[in-house]
Amino acid sequence: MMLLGNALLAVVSVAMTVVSATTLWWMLHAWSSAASLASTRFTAGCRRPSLTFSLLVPARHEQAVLAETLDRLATLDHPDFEVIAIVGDDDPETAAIAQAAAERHPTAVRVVVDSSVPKSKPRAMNTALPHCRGDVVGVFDAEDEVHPDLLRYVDSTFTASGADVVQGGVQLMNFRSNWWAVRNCLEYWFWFSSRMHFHAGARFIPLGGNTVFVRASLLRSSGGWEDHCLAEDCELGVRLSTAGAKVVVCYDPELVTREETPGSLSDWLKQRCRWNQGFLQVYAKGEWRDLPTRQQRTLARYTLAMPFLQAFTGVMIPISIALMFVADVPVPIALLSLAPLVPTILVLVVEITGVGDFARAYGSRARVGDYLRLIVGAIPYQILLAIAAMRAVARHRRGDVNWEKTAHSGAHRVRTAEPAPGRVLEPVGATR
Amino acid sequence: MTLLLDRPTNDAQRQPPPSLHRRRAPWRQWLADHRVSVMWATPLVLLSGVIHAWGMHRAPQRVDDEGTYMAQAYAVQHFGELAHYTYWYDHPPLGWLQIAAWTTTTGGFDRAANAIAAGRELMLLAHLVTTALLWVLARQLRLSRPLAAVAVVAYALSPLGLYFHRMVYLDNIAVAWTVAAFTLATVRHRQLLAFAGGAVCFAAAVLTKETFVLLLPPLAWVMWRTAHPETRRYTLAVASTLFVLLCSGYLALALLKRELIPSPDRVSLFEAVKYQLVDRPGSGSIFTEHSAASDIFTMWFGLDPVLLIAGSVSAVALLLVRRMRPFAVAYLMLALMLVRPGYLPIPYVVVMLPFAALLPAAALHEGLRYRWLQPAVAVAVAVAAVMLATLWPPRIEQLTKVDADRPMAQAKTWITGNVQRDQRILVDDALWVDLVSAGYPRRNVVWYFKADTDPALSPGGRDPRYDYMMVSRAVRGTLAIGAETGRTPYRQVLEAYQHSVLVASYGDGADRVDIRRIEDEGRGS
Repeated sequence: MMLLGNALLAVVSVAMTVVSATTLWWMLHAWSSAASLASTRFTAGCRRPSLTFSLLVPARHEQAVLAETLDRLATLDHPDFEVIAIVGDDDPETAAIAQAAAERHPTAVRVVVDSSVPKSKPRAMNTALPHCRGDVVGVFDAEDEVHPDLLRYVDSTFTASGADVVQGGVQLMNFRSNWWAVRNCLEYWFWFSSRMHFHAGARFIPLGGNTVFVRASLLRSSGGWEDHCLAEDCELGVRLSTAGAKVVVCYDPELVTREETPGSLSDWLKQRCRWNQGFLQVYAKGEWRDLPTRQQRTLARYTLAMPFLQAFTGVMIPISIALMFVADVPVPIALLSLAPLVPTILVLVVEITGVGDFARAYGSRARVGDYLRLIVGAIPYQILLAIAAMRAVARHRRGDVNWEKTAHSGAHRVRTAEPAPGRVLEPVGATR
Repeated sequence: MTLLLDRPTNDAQRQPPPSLHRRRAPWRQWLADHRVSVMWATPLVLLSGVIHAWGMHRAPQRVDDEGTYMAQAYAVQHFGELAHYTYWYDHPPLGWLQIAAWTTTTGGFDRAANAIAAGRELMLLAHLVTTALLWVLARQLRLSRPLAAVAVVAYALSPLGLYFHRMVYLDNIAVAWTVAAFTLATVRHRQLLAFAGGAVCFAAAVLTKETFVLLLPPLAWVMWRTAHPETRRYTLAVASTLFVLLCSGYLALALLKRELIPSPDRVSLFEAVKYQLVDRPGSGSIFTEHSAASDIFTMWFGLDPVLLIAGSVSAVALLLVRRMRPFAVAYLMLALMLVRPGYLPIPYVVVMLPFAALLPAAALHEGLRYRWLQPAVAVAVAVAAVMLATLWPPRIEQLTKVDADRPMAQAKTWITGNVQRDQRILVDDALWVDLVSAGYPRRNVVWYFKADTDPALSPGGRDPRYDYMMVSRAVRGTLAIGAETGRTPYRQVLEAYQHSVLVASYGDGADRVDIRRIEDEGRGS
């Protein structure tokens, strides 16, 4: 009996070490060498634009932020693009805002009304897809702050690399709003500047939900987005990866799309739960089984299961360490149960380094309070991730797939007449 | 219908054969790219191995320390314990855990002529690895191939190196890990993995022999200099954290055994560290005549003055060269530790030798670059060559030809032929494993060093009776302690000696091994 318990503890410890070590390696992928870091930027530079863009902006109850977003998008620096705002037929306030923006920018902005039932982001975008006239379809969220030069750089990347998909960077900016905001922002930092590159290189990539650009012909021939999926971005990425599409990921702090964290913990939980559920749906759909090599299929399984593995590991590690002190475990097994701590602490150290790096990249300085919130918030955040994972599993089993939307209030925006890129960090007058 | 395939009639239609340039296996490609270096390095490493292995079981004579490490490896393998007596945290156990891994996988204890011979096989392997890595490190530091060869040959042929590298010392294992760490610290591609690997190797070195932690500052310095500025914060953060975490495994071990802080009737890591750093009797100063430290230093210098002098002079000169400065500082730091008061371990010089071999080659490299230095360089090389030619050959010959171990082997034969299984014998640890695996019960074969220092051997406070004792160089050294003052911490050993008669004697001089039978009057109290 003891032998079985010890063996189980040993096996679980090894598994948790592997999961933590994988997380660590994917996090650090961009910084594994100087060459690697250089390749994460917009390497193609800014050439003469040659493509046309259709930018989709699905909006639902976004009256607080939509106007500003559409105004900014309409004035992007590119000779040939259109902005298509997609509003629901049951959402008159947002429709009015969109209509007003279309009147202000008649050549750039159009409005498409989505009358599908029930409402969801993929359905909205599929409704708009037939109306797209551009070579490349891009997706933005209603609260995004997009850099004016972004389209030029994306255009050059498409041309220079022959890519089918270009994923730009998205960054949450309000890292001082509350105790968990710094962790949420860092997640995006490591995800878009490093992990996505790893996935692109491995040719299996769960795409991001905005600042993603896909060639229109490819999108149409693949059948657009998956209506029923809660993580339609991930699903699209898996489908395109399976089809062998070439994906290029570019992260440049100057050109990144700025967003905000969800307003409250319950909003954050719903959002995270939705993503986790989406991953489960993609896994269940099984499209990834068509990937050519076994290595890619294993990577697919592992990536889609990762949120759950990480959540499990996060709560299991303190438990197994406590077990070691309470139960009478032989010394070698006890040492083995401490092994997962090594990559976990390394992840924390990398996050601490990342806070400084992130702050510097966006023109600020990390303060003691930021580090404290990061370190002290580590375990509570892990617990939250575990709760989100469990909630996702429960909802999936119940078949509960309604789209739980997160509210946006523009906390990442500075209230000046001319919102200037590059200096937005402090949420001015942000209320929660 | 023809059974033969139709041959294409039109040559123009014939398809060209598929390209013979298939993608090579990566290691094949690597070999092809590094052809010249491999051709240089392979004979050098082989030469180093041959000189090391020739007579490695015969000279030097097996010593107490080697036996202790082999006994501890034996205990790990056969008893599942960390040591053959209570493990008291004198060294972290990774060193003899590696020896145990070697003996387990190769069946060393059963196969080799004696226990220490099994360990010396591992020392040969460690030496080959260190030699190969020394070549790589020299090339990473931009030495030309001939000069890298000079460094490797100096390391391989130095009689001082030859003497110590053969013996089962933890230092020999640790030095292989250390040179690996320094080599990885100079890598410019894929730095994250390289630096992480360097941290792991150095943690292995420190957990093998803790004194190697002295090299942490120079290693960190090399990493800082090599790191690409853009990725530096991440690579260095990961490397340093990894090193600290792995080393704290030693603390975790002590914590799990509840032996971290002092408590009654238990050993503790805290007390062991305190002993090593503060309480341990010093060896005296190397400048004081006839102190232990001065004897040790004289022995080193007597074995090979050339390498030590060349290393020291080169280190001072290379302080001026930016690229080599960390290595020069490392050597000088290690050398300066010799003059501090405190305990000086005999194999301490092992950590200095790779630097002592590398630095003269690097100094030559720098010297050859400047015209005005050529005369000085020529003179130095000539002097060194003359000294090498006169001093090295006789010492190398002695280490390869002479059988210094015969007395030890003869003593063991005498014991197994004359000492009964139920009789108790005080031995030098060099024979402990051989006697125990020959069938003597563990409790009857007592390491003399533990007779007075391990309370578990004197239950109830009474001195146990011993029937025989073996007197080797190590025991003679212990008996000499307190000979003038009359006070010694090794009271039982001294009393046993004083009440014993000589029954067998083999060899002469320092290598002499005696067996003495303890008479009744000296027993117990």
